[in-house]
Amino acid sequence: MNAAATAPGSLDAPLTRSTSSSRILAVFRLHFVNPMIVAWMPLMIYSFIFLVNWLIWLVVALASDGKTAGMSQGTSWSGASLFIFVWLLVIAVQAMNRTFHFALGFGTTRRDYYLGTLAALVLLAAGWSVIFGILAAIEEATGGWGLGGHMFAAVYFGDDGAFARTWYVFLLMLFFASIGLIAGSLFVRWKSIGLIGFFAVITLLILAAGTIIAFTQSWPAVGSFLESLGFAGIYALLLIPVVIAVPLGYLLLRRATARS
Amino acid sequence: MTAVVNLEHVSKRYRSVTAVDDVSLRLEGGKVYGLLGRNGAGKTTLMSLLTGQEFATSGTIEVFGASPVEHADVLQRICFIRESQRYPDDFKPLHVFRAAPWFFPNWDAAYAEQLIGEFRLPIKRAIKKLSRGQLSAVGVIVGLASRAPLTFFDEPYLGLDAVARQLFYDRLLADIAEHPRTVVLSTHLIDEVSDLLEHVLVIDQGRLVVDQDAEELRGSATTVVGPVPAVDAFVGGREVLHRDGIGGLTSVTIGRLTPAERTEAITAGLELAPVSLQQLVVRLTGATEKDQELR
Repeated sequence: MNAAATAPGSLDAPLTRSTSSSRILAVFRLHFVNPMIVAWMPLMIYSFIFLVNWLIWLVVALASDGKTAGMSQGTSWSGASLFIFVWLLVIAVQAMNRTFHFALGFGTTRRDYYLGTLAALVLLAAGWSVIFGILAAIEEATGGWGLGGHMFAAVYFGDDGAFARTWYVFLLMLFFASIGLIAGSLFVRWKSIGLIGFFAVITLLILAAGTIIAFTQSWPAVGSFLESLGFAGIYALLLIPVVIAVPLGYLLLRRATARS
Repeated sequence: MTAVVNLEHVSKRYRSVTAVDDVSLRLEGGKVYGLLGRNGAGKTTLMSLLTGQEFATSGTIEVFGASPVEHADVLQRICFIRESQRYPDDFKPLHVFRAAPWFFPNWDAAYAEQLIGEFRLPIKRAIKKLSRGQLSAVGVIVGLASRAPLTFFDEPYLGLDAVARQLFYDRLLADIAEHPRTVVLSTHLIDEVSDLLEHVLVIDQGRLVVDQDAEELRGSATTVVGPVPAVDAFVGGREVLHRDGIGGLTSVTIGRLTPAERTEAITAGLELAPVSLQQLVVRLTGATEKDQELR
C-alpha cells in the first residue's frame, strides 16, 4: 500500500477545526452564480410593473385634462413597489431549501453555509434598497415621473428624505428576508409541518397580544406610542424580529439533513 | 496502512426503520470500493453519514481522522453527489461547473470541459429539463473533475446509456491511475463494474454482510458442471451455495477449491466455471432465485 501513502486520499496534513473564510465566500458567490434570479428577473418584472403603472397614469392624466393633484394623492398609496420584498422572501426560502441541499453535496458545513447565505441576503437587501432609494429620489425630482404618479416614494416609507427612506426600505427588506430565512429552515428541518406549526404559533401570539391590549383598553396607548416613535422608530422596531431570526435560523439549520 | 474512513458500531435509526445497523468498517486510502446492496438496503444513508449530511444515532465515524459532521477540513476533501441530488431551481449545468472550483480545491476545469464534451451534456439547458441520464452525467462529471481525495458515486449510471457508462468506467480508471484517490461506488450493476472494484462491501437491511477484497471474493466460489453422479461424487459433503440442473447435467456452486481439488475435478471430467461477482453477492446475501434481479 505504498501507493496509498502518497495518495491524496491519505492526506497527512493535520486537520484543524478552522472556519475557512474562503468557504463562506464560496457560498456567498454561489448565491450569485446565476444572476438571473437575484438581479435580472426582478429588474425586468419591476420595469414591467413600472411601465404599466406609468401608462395608467398617462391614461388617467389624459382623461382628466392633466389635473394631476388628485392622482398624486391617490397613487401615494400605491403598493406596486412591494413585489421586491416578497421576491427577497422567496429568495431566502429557496436559499435555505434548494441551495442548502446543493451546497451540502459540495462539502460545505452548515455553519459556513449559513454565514455565506446571510452575507448574500444582506448584500441583496442593501443593493435593492439603494436602487429603490434612487428610483424614489428620481420620482420626487421629476414630480412623479412627469405625471404626478407614485410607485417608490409611497407614504409607507415616510417623508424623512431620500436617505432615511432608503434606510427604511433596507430594514423592511431585512425583515422579509429573515421571515424567508426562518420559513426556509423550518421547511428543511421539519417540512410543511414545521412551517404550518410556526405560522400557527405566530397567529396565536398576535391574537393573544391583540386580546390583551383590547381587554386592558390600551389600544390608544399603543397608538400614541407608535406615533411617538415616528417612521424612524417603527422601522427600527423591525430589527427585533431580524435579530431573533438570525440565531434561530442557525439553530434550526444546524441539525437539518439533506434528505430529499 | 492509512485508514481514510473508520466506522465503529455505527447505527442510524429513524422512527420505525433502522437504516444502518451496527456497521463497523475501515476504508484504506487509494482503493476503489464497491458498495453493493438492494434498493433501500442503506447504501445512501451510509454515504450520508460518512459525509456529515446525516447524524448517526450511535457509534463513531472518523473520516480523515475526525468526525465529518460540520468539519470543514474533512468535508472539503469529500465529493458526494447523490443519485437524487437536488439543484437550485434556476440552475443550469454551467452554473454547477462554474461554482465547483470554489468548493473543490483540486477541481480541474479543463478536464471537466473535456468530460462535458464526451458526455454530450447540454450545459445551457435548465437542470429541471435534463433527462435522467444527463442529470447523472452532471454528477459523474463533478465526481471525476473534483478529484476529491474521497469521492462517492451514488448509483452514477442511472439513465446513462451503455456508451456513456463505458465512458464513465474508462475515465474513472484512467483518472484514478493518474490521481490516486479513494472511490466508493454504490451500484446495482455489479457485473459491469466488477473489474473496477478492488474491495467489495455488501449491505443488506442496514447490516454489513460482506467486507472483502474483490479478488478473494471472486475466488471464494466455483461452479462445477457435469453429469449428476460425477458432480455429486465430487461435491460430497461440501456446502452448496447454489444448484441448477438440466436433464442429466447439473451445475453446482460451492466454496473455494485448492489447486489439487481443481485438478481432481478436471480429471473426473467436470467443468469448472468462475462465479461472477453479481451471482456471488446474490447468493451470499441469501437471496432466493427470484430476487436475483437486484433491481
